[in-house]
Amino acid sequence: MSRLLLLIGMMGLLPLLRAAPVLDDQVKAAVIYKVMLFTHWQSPREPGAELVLCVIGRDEVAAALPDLEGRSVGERRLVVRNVNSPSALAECDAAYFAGTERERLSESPELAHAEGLMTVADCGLGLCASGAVLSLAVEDGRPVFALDRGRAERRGLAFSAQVLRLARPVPSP
Amino acid sequence: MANEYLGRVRRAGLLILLLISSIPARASGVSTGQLADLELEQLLGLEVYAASRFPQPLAEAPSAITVITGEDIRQYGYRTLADVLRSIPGLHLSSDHVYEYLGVRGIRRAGDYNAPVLLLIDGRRQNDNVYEAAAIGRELPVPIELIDRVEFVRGPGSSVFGSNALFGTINVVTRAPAAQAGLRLLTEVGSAGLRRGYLQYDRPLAAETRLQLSAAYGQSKGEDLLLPGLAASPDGQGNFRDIDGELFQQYSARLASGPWMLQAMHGERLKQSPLPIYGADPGDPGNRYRDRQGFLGLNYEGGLGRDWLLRAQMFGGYYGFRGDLVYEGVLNRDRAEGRWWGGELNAVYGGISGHRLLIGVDLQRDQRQQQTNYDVDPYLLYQDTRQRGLRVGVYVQDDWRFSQRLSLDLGLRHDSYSDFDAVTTPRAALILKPWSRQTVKLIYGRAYRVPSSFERYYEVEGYEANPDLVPEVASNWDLIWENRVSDSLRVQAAAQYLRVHDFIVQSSDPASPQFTNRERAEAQGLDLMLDKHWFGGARSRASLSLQRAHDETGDFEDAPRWLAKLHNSLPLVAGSRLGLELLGTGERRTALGTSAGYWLLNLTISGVSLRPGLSLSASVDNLFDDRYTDPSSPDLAAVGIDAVPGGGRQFRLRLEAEF
Repeated sequence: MSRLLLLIGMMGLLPLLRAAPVLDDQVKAAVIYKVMLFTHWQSPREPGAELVLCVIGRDEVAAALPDLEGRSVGERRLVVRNVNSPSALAECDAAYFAGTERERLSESPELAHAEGLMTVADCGLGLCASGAVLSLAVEDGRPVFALDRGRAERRGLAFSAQVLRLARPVPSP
Repeated sequence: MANEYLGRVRRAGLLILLLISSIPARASGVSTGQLADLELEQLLGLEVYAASRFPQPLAEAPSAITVITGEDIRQYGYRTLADVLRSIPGLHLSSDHVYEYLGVRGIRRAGDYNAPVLLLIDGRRQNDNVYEAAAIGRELPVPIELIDRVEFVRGPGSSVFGSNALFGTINVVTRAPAAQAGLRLLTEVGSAGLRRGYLQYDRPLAAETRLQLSAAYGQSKGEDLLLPGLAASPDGQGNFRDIDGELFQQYSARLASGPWMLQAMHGERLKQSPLPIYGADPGDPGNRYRDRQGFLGLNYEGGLGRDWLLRAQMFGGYYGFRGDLVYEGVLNRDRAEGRWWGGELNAVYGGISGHRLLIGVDLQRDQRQQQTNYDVDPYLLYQDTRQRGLRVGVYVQDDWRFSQRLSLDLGLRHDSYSDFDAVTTPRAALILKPWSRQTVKLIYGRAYRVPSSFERYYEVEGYEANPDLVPEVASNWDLIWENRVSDSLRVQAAAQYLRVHDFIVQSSDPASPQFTNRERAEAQGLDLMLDKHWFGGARSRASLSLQRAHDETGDFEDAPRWLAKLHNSLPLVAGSRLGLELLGTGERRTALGTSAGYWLLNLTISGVSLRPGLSLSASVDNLFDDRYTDPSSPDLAAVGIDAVPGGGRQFRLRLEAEF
C-alpha cells in the first residue's frame, strides 16, 4: 500500500508543472532559419556580412521571424527586414511572402528570374505548389517543408544533402 | 503470492487510469530563438531512417516504428541498448548474466543471440558473420551517451535490408559531431562495484569539416546470486558470490566533411560467467567471455542534379569471441573470428510526381568465419573450421502517393548467396488517411534470416554440425491504426500476425544436438499504445501488448502472454526531471516449470544542475527490489538451473561536465 501511495504522490506532481505547447508558426520560422543554414548562394548578392531576409505582408510566421535577427548563417549575420513591394526585393537574399502576398509569387514579373533570391511561402495545412523555392506546411500535426530544386537551380541556389533528405517533393500544381 | 500479484496488477491499472485522466492544456510561449537552437530533424518531429532508408515522418512510415531519443535515454537513465529495447511495446529481455536476449512477440530461442533482429549502427549492418548476433549489452561498441536515438521497426525489413531483419530492425543513430568545439566528461558510480567513465570531444576543423572522438571505460563486480540449495554452485548451497564481474571499453571516431563521413568504432568486453554455462565448473573465476567488435566505414551522401539523392558507403567489420570455460580444472577455449567488408550504393529519385523511388545494391564479402575450440593445457584441439561467403543484394522501393489520403509503399529485394539459394522478399504497405488525424496502415511483408555459421558448423560436445540448414522465412501481416486525438495525445492500436517457415531451433534431443529447420512457428499480438504530452512539459507513454508465440506442440518457452509498460517523465525544478519506468512481464514457461510474472519500477532523476556545465543524475533500478527470474537455457536446466534470477535493486549516480 505504501508503494501505491508513493506512486500516486509522484503522479500527483503532474498538475503542478507549467510550460508550453509550441505554436506551429514559430516552428515554421525556425525551419526557415534552419533551411537557410544548409543553403548555398552561388553568387551572393553582396558578399558582405549580412544576409537579408525580407518579409512581405503579415501573418503569424512573419511575426515570429524578427526573433531570428542577429543569428549567424554561415559567416553572415541574419537581418530581417519588412518590405512593401516586390521591387524592393533586389536588396534581399531571401523573402517570405506572408498571408495573401503569397499570390504575388506567381504574378510578379520581378520574381520570375530573381537571381539568388530564396523565396519562401507558407501553405498552411498540407503542402502546395506555392511557386516559392521553400514551401512550409503542417501535416498530421508536424511541420513539413518542400524544396523546389528546379526553381532553386535557376536562381543559383543549392542545398546540402542534409536538408534535401528531409524535404518533401513539391506537389504538382 | 497470487493475492500480492493481483494487487500489483490493480495498482498498475490504477496508475494508467490516473495518467489518462486529462489535464487541460494551455498555450504559452517558447521563443522562436529557442526553437532555432534545435536541429532541423527535431523541428520536423521524429524522423526515421530505418523503415525504408529514407527519412519519413512516423505517421507515413510503412511499418510500426518506435523511436527512443537520447533525451529519453537520459531521462530514464538507460544503461545499455538492452534497457532501451525493454521500453518498447512487444519486446521483452532475458539474461543469463553474460548476454541479453531479445524476445520479439514472445519468440526467443536459446542460442539465437538475437540473430532474427537486424542491428544497424547509423544505417550500417552490425550483426557479425559467425553468430549473426545483435549485440545489445555492453559488448555493443556504442557508449550509451553517444546514442542520438534508437529506432525500432517491428516486423519484416528484409525487402530493404536483406537477412536478419526477420522480426525487426534496430537502428542506432549516433550523435553527429557538434558544430562547436566541446568536451563532455561523465563519471558514473553504482551498486555492485560499478565504475564508468565517458569522454567525448568535438571539434570543427574547417568550415564544413567536423571531428568527434569518444571513449568509454567501465567495470563492475556484478551481483551475488542465490539459487537456494543448488548443488551445482561453488559452495553446494546455491551461493554465487563475486564472480559476475564485467570490464568494458568503447572507442569511436567520426570525421564529417560536407557530403563525406568517415567513422570507426571498436568495443571490447570481458564478462565473467557466474553460472555454470555449458556445464563448466560452477563458480570458477576462470569462466569468462570476451567479445570484441568494430568497424570502419566511409559514407557519401549528396544531391545529384535536380531529382536525385545519392548515397554510397564502404565498410569493413570484425568480430572476435573468446570463451574460457573450466571443466574439471582444465581450461577449454572456444573462439570465433569474423571479418567482412563490403559496399552499398543507393539512390532516391524524386523526378516523377507522386513517387519517390529508391534503388540500391549492396555486397558483403565474408572474408573469414572461423570457429575453434581446444583445451589449453594439455593442448587438445576439438574444432577448427573456416568458411567464407559472399552476399549480394539488389533492392527497389517506391513510395507512391495517389493522393493526400492514400499511398502505397512497395518494396522488393533479391539476395544471392554463395552458400544458399537466392531469396526474394517483397513488402507492400497501404497507408490510408481517412481523416487528417487518423492513419491506417495495412502491411504485408516477407523476411528471412540465413542460418549462422555457428548454427551450421559448430560441433564441439553437445553440438552437431548441420551444413544443410536453410534460411528461415517469415510472412508477416500488420494492421495499424493511429489516431492523433490532439496535438498532445496520440493513441495507436496495432495487430500483428507472423508465421515462420523452416524455423531454426536447437533440438532438445540429447542424441542429436543440432540446429534443425522445423516446419513452422507462429506468433500473433496486439499492442495498444498511448503517448501524451502534458501541459507543463511532462510526458507519459503507456503500452499494453497481448501476444502468443507457439508451434503445433504448444506455446514457446520464455514467451510472455502480456507485457505492460508505463513511462512518465516529469519536469522538476530548474530543468531537472523525474523519470519513472514501470515494466510488467507476464508469466513465462521454462524448460521444467514457469518464471512468474513480475513488475519492475525504475526511477531516475536527471539533469540536476550543480553549476553551469555541471550536472548530476541518479537512478534506482528495480526500486522495490522485486525478485524475478528469466527462463534459462537447456544446459543450465540440465544442472538444475531452470530459471535465472534477475537483478535486484541497484543505485547509480552520474556526474556530467561540459566544457
